[in-house]
Amino acid sequence: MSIEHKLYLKKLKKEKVFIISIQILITLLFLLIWEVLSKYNIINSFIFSSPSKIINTIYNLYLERILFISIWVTVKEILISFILGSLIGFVLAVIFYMVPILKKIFDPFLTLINSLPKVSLGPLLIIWLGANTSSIIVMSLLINTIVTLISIYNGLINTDSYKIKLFQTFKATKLQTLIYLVIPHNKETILSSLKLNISMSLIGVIMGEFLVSKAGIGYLILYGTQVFNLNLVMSGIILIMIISFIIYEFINFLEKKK
Amino acid sequence: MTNILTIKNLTKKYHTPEGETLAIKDITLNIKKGEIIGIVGSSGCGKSTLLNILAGLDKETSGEIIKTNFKDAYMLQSDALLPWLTVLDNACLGLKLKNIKTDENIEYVKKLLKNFGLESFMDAYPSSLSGGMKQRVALIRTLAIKPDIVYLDEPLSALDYVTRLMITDEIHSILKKMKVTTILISHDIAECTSFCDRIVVLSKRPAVVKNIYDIKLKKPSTPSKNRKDELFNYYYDLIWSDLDK
Repeated sequence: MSIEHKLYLKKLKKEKVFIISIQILITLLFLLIWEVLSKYNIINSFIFSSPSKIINTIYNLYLERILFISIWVTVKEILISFILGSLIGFVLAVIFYMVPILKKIFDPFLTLINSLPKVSLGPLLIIWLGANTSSIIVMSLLINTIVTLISIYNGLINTDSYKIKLFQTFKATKLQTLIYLVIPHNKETILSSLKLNISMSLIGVIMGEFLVSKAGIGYLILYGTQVFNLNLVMSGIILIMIISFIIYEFINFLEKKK
Repeated sequence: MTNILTIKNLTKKYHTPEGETLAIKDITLNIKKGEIIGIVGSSGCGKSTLLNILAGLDKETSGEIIKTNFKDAYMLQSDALLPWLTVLDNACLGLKLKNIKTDENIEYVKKLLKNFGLESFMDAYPSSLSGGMKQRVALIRTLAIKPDIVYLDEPLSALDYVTRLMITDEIHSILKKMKVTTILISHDIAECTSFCDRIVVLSKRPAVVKNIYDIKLKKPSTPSKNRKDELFNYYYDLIWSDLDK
């Protein structure tokens, strides 16, 4: 390796370290200011809570054996709705791609469902499916399936037309074209739609938990609001942030690994 | 020479909500076995439409295409190599899609890759190839299925001039050696005149056959040498005067 290249790599590393340090600094500074303002009653700690109180609340949740149960309930619901939503969205996108007339027929319905605020269906879901996990998962599916379907479908129909023509010149069947060209060609689109889907699943699950749950982080937040325990509400929000960060980084890792 | 392909009164109309477009009108043509025939015409005259119909990618509105029992293959304007497959897998794509990827056929493809100087790139991915090399792989992919007829749709138009001249010679020599009937469409009169045994000049849309020339150069050789032949300019000027500008 030449000295110039070593210097270049060093410069890149230095910049990365600098950016991460500043990010950590900003976070610590924010937490410190929050803590100080709350401790000296400059802001109302009952309403705004404080980092130490949040840590304390999370620790108490741990001692009461609620922490991991809540995390598990929410993560389980996210995973189920993520997997189901991805599968249903992918399969529907492929069907619409293979049978274009179906897409034409269902287009207005898809637009209608996509533009509908799904939370408005919440009360109906509770009545139809009962106040249980299925309502939460269906709520999440309503949100993530349609987004996955639309983003994967848009990728599939934008497959390089030259390559499609190439397959036609070899008289390839539609299935061969799908397996050997369209899907590998759209690997990145599919991965990025999965990334989008995980955030949508999280939103859907928390929304569902607000509506019907008896456990989970959404439930903790809702319960905290009802008993006016804002430390609990803030703790719930922090836990959601951590979960979503971990899932997002996990998908990033998978994407890099491919 | 016997006819491998006969086109009788071929007409093609396109329909859009705005109306009907007549793309090809009453074309009659015989393609002889083993010949290299060029179809020239101005841009958008219907050359590609004609080729697509012959290759079965599009359907004629009326007329008849009489095909003897042959295998055909198509080479497109762009190489259309799949970036996630190696050079060898790309070259074998047609074999795979036609379910004839046998050991024997793979060996044949390897031989072709070797003949084209791509032996050491067999396991490489297309991104590491130059434009000319990619086009060679595309040609091998076309030849891999051992076709009797090859349709070439301006196969070199994406290449720079020097590479283009070099590859034209290579393609010409291999097609002649394999005695593959070839239909080349191009808007480049010089390329066609130097490459083909016969040239069909099409009019502007709707395409009708304006003239057919048997190219009889003094000393037929490789396309790049043909360009220096005494009679090259004679044919070039004839075709040029026929083209609708």
